[in-house]
Amino acid sequence: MRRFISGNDAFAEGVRLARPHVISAYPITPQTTVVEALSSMVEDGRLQAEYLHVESEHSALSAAMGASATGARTFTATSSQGLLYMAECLTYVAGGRFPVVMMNANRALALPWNIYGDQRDSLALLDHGWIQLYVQDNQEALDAALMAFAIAEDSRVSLPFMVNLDGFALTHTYEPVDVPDQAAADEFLPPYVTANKFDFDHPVSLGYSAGPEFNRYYAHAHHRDMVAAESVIDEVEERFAARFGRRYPGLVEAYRCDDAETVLVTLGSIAGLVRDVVDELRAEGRPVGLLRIRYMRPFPAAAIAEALRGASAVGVLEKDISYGAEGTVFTNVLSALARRGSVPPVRDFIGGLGGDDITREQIRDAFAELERAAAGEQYVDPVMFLGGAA
Amino acid sequence: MSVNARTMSDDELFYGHKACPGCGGALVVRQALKVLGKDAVAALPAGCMSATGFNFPQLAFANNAMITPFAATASVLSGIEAGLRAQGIKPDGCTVVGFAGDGGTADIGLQALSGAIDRNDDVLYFCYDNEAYMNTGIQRSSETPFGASTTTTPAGPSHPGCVTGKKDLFAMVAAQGIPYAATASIGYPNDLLKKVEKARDIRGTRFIHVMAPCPVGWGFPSSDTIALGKGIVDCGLWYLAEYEDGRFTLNRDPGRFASVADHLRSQSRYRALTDADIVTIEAHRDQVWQRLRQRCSCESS
Amino acid sequence: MLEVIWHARGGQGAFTAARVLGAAASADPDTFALAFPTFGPERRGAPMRAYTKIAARPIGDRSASRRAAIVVYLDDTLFADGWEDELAEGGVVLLNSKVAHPDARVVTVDGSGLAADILGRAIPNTVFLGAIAALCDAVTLENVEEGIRATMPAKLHERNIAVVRAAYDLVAGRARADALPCCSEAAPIEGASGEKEREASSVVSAEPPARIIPQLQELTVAPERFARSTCFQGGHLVSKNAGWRSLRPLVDQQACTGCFNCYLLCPDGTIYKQPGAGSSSTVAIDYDFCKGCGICAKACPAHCIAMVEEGGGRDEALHIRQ
Repeated sequence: MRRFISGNDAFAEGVRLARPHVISAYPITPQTTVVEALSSMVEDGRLQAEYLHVESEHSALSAAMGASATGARTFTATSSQGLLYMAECLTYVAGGRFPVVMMNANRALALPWNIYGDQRDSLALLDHGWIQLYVQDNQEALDAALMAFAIAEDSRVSLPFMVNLDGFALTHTYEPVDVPDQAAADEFLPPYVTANKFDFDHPVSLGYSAGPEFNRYYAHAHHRDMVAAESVIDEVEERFAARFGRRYPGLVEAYRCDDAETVLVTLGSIAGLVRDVVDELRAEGRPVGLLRIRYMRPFPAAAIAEALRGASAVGVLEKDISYGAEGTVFTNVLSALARRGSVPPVRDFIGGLGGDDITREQIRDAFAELERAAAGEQYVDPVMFLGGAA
Repeated sequence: MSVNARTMSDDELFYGHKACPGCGGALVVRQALKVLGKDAVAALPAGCMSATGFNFPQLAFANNAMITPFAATASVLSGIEAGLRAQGIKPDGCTVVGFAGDGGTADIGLQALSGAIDRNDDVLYFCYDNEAYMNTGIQRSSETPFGASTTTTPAGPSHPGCVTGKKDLFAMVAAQGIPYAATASIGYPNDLLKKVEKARDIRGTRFIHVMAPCPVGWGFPSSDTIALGKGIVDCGLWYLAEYEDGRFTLNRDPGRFASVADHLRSQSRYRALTDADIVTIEAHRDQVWQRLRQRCSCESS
Repeated sequence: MLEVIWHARGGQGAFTAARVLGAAASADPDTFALAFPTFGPERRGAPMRAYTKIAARPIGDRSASRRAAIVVYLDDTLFADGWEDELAEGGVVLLNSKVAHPDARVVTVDGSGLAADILGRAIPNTVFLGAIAALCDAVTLENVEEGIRATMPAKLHERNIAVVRAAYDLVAGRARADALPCCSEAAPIEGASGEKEREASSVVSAEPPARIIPQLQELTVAPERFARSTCFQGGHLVSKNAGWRSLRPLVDQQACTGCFNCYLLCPDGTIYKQPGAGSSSTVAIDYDFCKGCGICAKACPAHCIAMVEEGGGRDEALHIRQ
């Protein structure tokens, strides 16, 4: 059924269709409307779940972990400072291999205090062992909610899953979304079956400590299974396409990259505008492309290197800055290129911080800058703040 | 049937742990699990009991048990309870139980505990109180008593040790209208067992604050743990009470207190106390008891 | 793409109108739309904006519109100099006002009056939905009615639809804006995959013994099995605690009265009950796990537990007095 709803509402519909047993969340702008929607669904019986009104984000994720440890399908949602307040628990949940699904409404970090969208919150937590997906529109948000449970709970993966929606640009923007029916969702998403839970016939210790002689085994298995998630993601997207007719492109989406001389790499909702600009410039005869990273973890280094194979200059457009270094997405993309063995001229365009608009003109300018870089123009600092900052 | 040494289960659900010899906290966990039985699901935050009970591959809990983030004992308990209930898989007689130290409860875990009581989640929470952060090496917590030397309130020329008193957790949880709360001490084991049994059979949030002397942190021989747990009650520096159905009950009112000085002088953490400090401690004890007696309907024993 | 900018004060329903318009346009399965407010702290009475974008293809640009074919002012106090800068060529301004405006591009409608007459409250937002349906091809009157039913609470449907119809009749034929471009299709893609069978992860299980107690055993599970979770058989012990002990408790079985005080108070649970002479019971100690703390010796009312130095004999017993 096609409905005109916000990103948060779309995500809530996806969560409803996944039938979680336990939802544990604490409100924060701009995540609030997703937990409001879920609360209404629990209240009026559309969703049979325990909704835990916890007193903080730290408790939200801790309770989610406790619930997951009983074998329950579990959901939480947060944003920004709330995500950071959860940070300690992120590593518990990931290391414990509890496939909790979280929606994070991407929002700036204080100070200065700011409620608007950027991606500094989740990108600061790339190393916490969660799968991280960045969606582009509300349909992808809803579909991601369903697929997130399927991927996270797959026994080959068993990892928590963070779906990132740009604050406001997705969470509070309305657009038409196809909401699948429950029977189709049930057919797509099997019940969560795991041995990683309490067992009353054969009791277990969960989440114990492990000293120096054992610790690396856990880290290695975590890493290996995160890498293995790549093929599970492909499988699940294949099944999703078969069931719902919507096909997602895997860990990255390359748009007109095949013969592109300059490519702009980005993630999240801004990819929509970059795509429009790519079409405009192509119409002007300029060979440009867009590479949208969907998954930052597992990080699709090979796919990125492959998509950028023909590019003479590569730019990264990101709503993030690792102070004193460069944007975190840029660091990761450069690593992918370096692994391949050759790095073309690169630029890091930092924009959209604290909800600042990234404009069509800025994206056109970014491509122009890449064209100059491809032509051999020298530069001192590849890190550029869109709109000027000095 | 009341649980005592003769009637209690032979099962040892907490065994082979690496707690120090004479550990009061370990005894709290062991005795509680004796009453709660094999279907208890335990959650423990960072602290002595998790550090000594859970180090792979030495796993000392024979029942289901789980480690939690330090601040999150109560919220993990809530999640476990909700998960079992939502799936309809909670066995009859299953108690979802937490064991956290005084720091993990009165300091970093207080917010989550308050949240669980607020929701009246069906969980039983034990605070085993050894009056400092013992797992990290005897640092002051908000349950460290006045005059106790710890590594962060060292006795020195300016102070005999900690200058603050114990945070009144019992009154705090009661103020939230919790269905059942109690204080206890391992020095009065039958009182403790009775309270665990009672708490086991009440629904909603239950809280038991158990005095659990620590030979290492307090500075006494490991054989004296029980004696210290009894002595601290007899001299009035700890008390045995309950809060149930909105009413306070004092389970033991010594009438005449045993010597505070004798009790304190048996522990090296109080080595720097002057006689004047002890008078201060006694005066404070008398204030506490005045309040206690006011709010309790006394049942002398 | 048709863009609409809504100017209003918080509480006048501009974002609701923006959403209804988007929902109305998306009633056509081949049409795409976005609706969003200015993302500020929402305070009643404060100036705010909302936006609706409608197109025949997915809309990439989620940023605020700078120029629009239709600019609506639900509150005429917000209509100020510079309004032309926001108006795209050929576009119209819809102004909530009783007074006509000299510029032909500005269409005035007494939205507050119309709403007060029909709704009983001067909330002018849906008036302008009727006006927009009358002015351009992006949405039909039927689409708007459907949008109201899909977006607003049921009790508001009837009267707001009446408002929309009245406004439509009032404005129809007065001016025209952009026409909506035609639509393209999104082709579903075939694909199939079987459901993967789920495999259990690494939990080792053992038959529970009659008396439940953690057991010494060897770690035989390989890292690739145990390290995929932190979930492992409870009560799995690989080392003894015997080495911790410098003093060993010795029980005088003859003197033991079977009171079980020592059993009750052992922090390590290493004292267990055993049958004594006749029907009596005594205790014994699991020296694999006893740490030698001495609590039992002090707890024994019959003084029948002695602490002796490890490696020494009974003669060297260090009897701890209670």
